[in-house]
Amino acid sequence: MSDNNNNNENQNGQKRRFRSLMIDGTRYRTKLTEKFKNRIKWDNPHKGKVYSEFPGTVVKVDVEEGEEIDKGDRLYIYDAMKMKNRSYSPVGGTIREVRIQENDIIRKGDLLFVIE
Amino acid sequence: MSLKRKILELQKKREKVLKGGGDKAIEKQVAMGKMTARERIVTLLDENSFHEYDLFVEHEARDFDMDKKVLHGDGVIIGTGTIYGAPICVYAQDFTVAGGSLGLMHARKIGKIMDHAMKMRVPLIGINDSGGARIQEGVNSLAGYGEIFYRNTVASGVIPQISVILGPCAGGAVYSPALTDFVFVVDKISKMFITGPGVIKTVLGEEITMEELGGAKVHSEQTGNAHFYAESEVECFNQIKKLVSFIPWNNNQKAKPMEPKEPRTDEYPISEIVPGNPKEPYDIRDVIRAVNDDSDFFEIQERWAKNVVIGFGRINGDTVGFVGNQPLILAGVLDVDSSDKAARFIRFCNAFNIPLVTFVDLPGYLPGVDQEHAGVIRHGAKVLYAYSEATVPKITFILRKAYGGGYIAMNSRHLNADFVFAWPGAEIAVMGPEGAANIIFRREIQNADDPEKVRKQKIKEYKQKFANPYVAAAKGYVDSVIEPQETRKLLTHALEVSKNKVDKRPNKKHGIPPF
Repeated sequence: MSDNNNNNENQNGQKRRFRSLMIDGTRYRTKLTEKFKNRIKWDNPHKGKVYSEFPGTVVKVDVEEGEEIDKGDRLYIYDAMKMKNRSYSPVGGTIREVRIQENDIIRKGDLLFVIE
Repeated sequence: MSLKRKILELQKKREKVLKGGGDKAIEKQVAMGKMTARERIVTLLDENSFHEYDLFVEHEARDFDMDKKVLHGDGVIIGTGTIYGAPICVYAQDFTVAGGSLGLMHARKIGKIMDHAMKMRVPLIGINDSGGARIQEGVNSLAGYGEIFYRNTVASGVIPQISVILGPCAGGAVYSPALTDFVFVVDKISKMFITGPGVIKTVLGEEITMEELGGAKVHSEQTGNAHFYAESEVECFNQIKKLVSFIPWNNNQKAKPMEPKEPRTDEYPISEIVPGNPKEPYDIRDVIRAVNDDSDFFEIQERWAKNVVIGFGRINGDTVGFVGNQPLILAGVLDVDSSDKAARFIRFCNAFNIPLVTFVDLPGYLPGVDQEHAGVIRHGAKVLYAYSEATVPKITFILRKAYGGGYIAMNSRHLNADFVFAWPGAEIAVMGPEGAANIIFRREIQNADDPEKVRKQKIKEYKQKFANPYVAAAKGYVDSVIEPQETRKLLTHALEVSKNKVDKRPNKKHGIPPF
């Protein structure tokens, strides 16, 4: 599936009423919804990228850049829904990037650490 | 004291209580662009039909100095009345009295009118305008909510339940509307959310207005929590009245018939609406209008999951529920939201003895990682479940494409449809010709000297052989291939001969639908 015509205007500069939507090899002329256009694109999971699991506030960061860690080492503690939560590394390696510090407010899905 | 004086005393008492939270609070309510609770009920119901009960109910809270406070009617109005002569039980929360907050007696009053609606088997309309739980009453107010939810659930499928959100409706309070059949919202007035902007700011540091978080547009366009959107309260009440005219009083009755009318065929010429090319869009609602009485189609959830269209209309005076794929939006695919939307409507129609008419024109389910990961399997299964479960008359018209799982789901013969008609342009197949030819003739296409030429030729072959209604008709999956002009005639006939339909299913407590 693809919606190829990403620019909204045709050659005459007029707004096009219809876009195309490919389903099973057939291209249909139709309108797209905002929800469809804003759908979350698939991102291949990258093992060394650690994203926030839950919205909250960072209480403590346990690692710093350049540090060698093992799988299962604690990365940070955050406060969410009145509870302190610990987060552990899914992989072992070297910390390449630390993107948070104490008292930061994090949202679900924010990139927090890059580990190689 | 003479009776005359006692009557005077009653009149004085009434006058006082009828003012609700008093002039100042009413002024505030009006300044917010809202009607008062009593005005709302009177505007909604037939003239002079409303009778109020529990006017003199008082709360019994003692903590936090509540014993010194008088809350007239405890912040909610309950009563009975009629809409176009149909009996209605109604309650309206009165924001002018302690912000319409819900305490024990407030909830008891709502419970009382709900019980009444159930005993009398008449529709229930709840008008919500409340700041939420009355904190001073503590766990008693939570008990109140729970008892309302329980009653909503027991009444579900027995009497129609309508929720009108005309003010804030936050926290636990939102679950009563969510459990009812139809939710009405009004722009700039309705606000529904579980956690408000304040909490979101504390937890996430994100600033959002009530309107952006849970306003009328959000719930009618994004979440699907609301079924009807209006610009004003008066428009909203007119929508409710119209809805009530389409539905029966309870699950043992049928909707009251109206005077039959012919569709406006000049405006909606049925043979000219649908383009021959299955890749071209058109508005399915025009087809619905072309067949139903007076071309009057009452659409539900018209702003959400627009790739499927649902709503009521009448055929020969009797209410029917229409479900149609909408080629104008996302080519009419079924996806997570549209499956949810269609399935719930089908179940409402089945519960309340409303025959189902389905117009099919879809390329199938929407492909994509986001859809798969959002659970399109489970949501899509709801459509199959709802159609299979339905025992009301089920009539299907296949207008154009009906491919793959989408064909099965849209009330096919295989889900026990009573009548399946197809227009001559119908294409009933596993998938569209392009996709099918690419798979079946992959080798031949790859090995050809001119693959493009062979591909085109194979697509053409497949189209001629399979992209038609006759393969399915030869197996009896389609009862009759008809001309578009014959649609209303056959629909009328099919409904006529289905009036005594009996479809007995095995006894069970209830099924386990995929929700």
